[in-house]
Amino acid sequence: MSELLTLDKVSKSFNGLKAVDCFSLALKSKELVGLIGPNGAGKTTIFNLISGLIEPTEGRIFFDGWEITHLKAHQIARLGIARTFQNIRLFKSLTVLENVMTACQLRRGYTIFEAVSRWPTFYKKERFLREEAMELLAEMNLADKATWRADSLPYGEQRRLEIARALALEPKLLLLDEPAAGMNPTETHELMEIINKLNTERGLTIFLIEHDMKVVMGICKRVVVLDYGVIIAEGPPEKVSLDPKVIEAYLGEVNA
Amino acid sequence: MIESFLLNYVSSYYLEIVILMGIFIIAAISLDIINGYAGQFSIGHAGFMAVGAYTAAFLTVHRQVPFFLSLLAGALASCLAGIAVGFPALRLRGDYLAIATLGFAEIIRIFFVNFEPTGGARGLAGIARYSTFDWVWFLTVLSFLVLYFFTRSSFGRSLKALREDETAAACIGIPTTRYKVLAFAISSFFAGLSGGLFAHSLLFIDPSSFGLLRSIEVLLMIVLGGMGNLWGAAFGGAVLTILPETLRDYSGIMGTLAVVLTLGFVLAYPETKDRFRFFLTSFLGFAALFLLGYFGRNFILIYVSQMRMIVYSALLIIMMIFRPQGLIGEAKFRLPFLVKKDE
Repeated sequence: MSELLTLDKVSKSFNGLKAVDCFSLALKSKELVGLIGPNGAGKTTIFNLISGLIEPTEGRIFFDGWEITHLKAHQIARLGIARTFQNIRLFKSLTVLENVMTACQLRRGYTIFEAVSRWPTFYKKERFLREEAMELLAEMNLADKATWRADSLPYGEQRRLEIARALALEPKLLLLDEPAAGMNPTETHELMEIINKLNTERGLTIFLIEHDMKVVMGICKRVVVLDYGVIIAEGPPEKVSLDPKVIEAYLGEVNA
Repeated sequence: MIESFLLNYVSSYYLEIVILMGIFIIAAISLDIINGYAGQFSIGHAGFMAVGAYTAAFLTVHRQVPFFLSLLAGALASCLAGIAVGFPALRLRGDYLAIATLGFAEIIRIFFVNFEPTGGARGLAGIARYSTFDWVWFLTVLSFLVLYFFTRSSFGRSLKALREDETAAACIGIPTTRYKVLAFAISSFFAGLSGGLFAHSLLFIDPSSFGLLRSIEVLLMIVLGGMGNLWGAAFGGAVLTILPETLRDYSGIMGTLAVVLTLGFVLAYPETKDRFRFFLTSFLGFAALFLLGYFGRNFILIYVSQMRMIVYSALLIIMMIFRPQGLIGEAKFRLPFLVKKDE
């Protein structure tokens, strides 16, 4: 399998504070990898670096054969990296359907002229967008709520809508930032099934941050543990959870 | 054409108000693209109107260019100014952007104060009256349709996404920079158009017609009608053009109060089950209005018409307290002949 995403000695400092220090990682195509670590370890910073919201101070990032180190967020999204956010970022006053359509239209655009003149092709393309968005909503069990305002959905469904919106980009790599945060056990279980399905059936490469160890142990084949911006352990979840350095990072030093 | 027909029935004073109404509707709906849809805060709309007004008026007065071409040139000049403002605007947010657009509008105004070819501070006189009812309302309807179709397309959705969450918008591939400039360009194009029509309706323009107060007036229109909704902006534009005029005399004041009262009752009782209370209170309200009108005629004539700007401001304050989302709010109307059902 070829490498899809490569981070080569990436560092990021905020006014002298090293949030990420010399981070190297390679994700193979169709892998499902978890990123864990205590609070403030720099996990979300790594996601922000990959998705182009911030630029690394040092190091380079490659994706699918392209160097994306200095690209803007919207260019990286076009190349095929989609993400969700730790604190849900939906377009609140738009409907559930519109939320997904805004992401679909990246690939199926039309010109301003077509839109303003209501050219026949406009209706055709707009219908396409709508059907595509509805399919994604159906896949996430949200089809019956398509006309709801996004912020009127219950919490778990907002998370699923965010995933639907990310999938609308038809990404090659999906970054999930704490997808199970704030979910009850039933919702978490449902989410794990969805993520698993995306990985096995769609063949999507998934990189996820998660605090819920049940989720990480349950679906990830490989786990990377981060502490103070440095990788302290890497490997299959069963092995990593027994690593003394990991236990120390989470629970504090044994002799202290 | 329609104008000469209308003049058989109404005086030219009323016709001028209706013409101004169309002009300000264009100004308001264009500002709504920046402030309502893209979620940027601009209070420099008079600056764009000034560019359009001066360009168009200069061309018709000094260069004898046909009216329509002058309007178009004014709109394009204003569009360029909009793009010029759009770029610095990308770095600014909220209050800071508001101050920057305000500064821009002042620069434009002061430029025209010192620019001799267009009369400087003395203003530009001798403009022919080309802004007839037909021209103005043809262009008002056309502008509304263009902006309506624009906002109800992927472009409108992208602008709204930008307004709701810029980071998330960037992460689903919306080039945020380009869309902000696009919003400014389109908005200022129509502001320039409205400015050109304004000049050819007032027949005289000077820099003070495009000061801060004008910008605020247009802003008030979209706030009153409801931001992020073209119907609301158009409604606000219409109401705020008429209101200062109707508050001039007795019958106008009583009429305005009656309309405000009716709207108030309709908005206060949206549920049909409150029908009894609705009728009772509206009956009492109108009875009170009648008594006020009957016994307080002199009082109104002496005080209220002198204080019409205070009444006007008071109505706005009351409105912001009881209905901050604007009169129309988020209510949607469809153009049934032009919009397909599933849209």
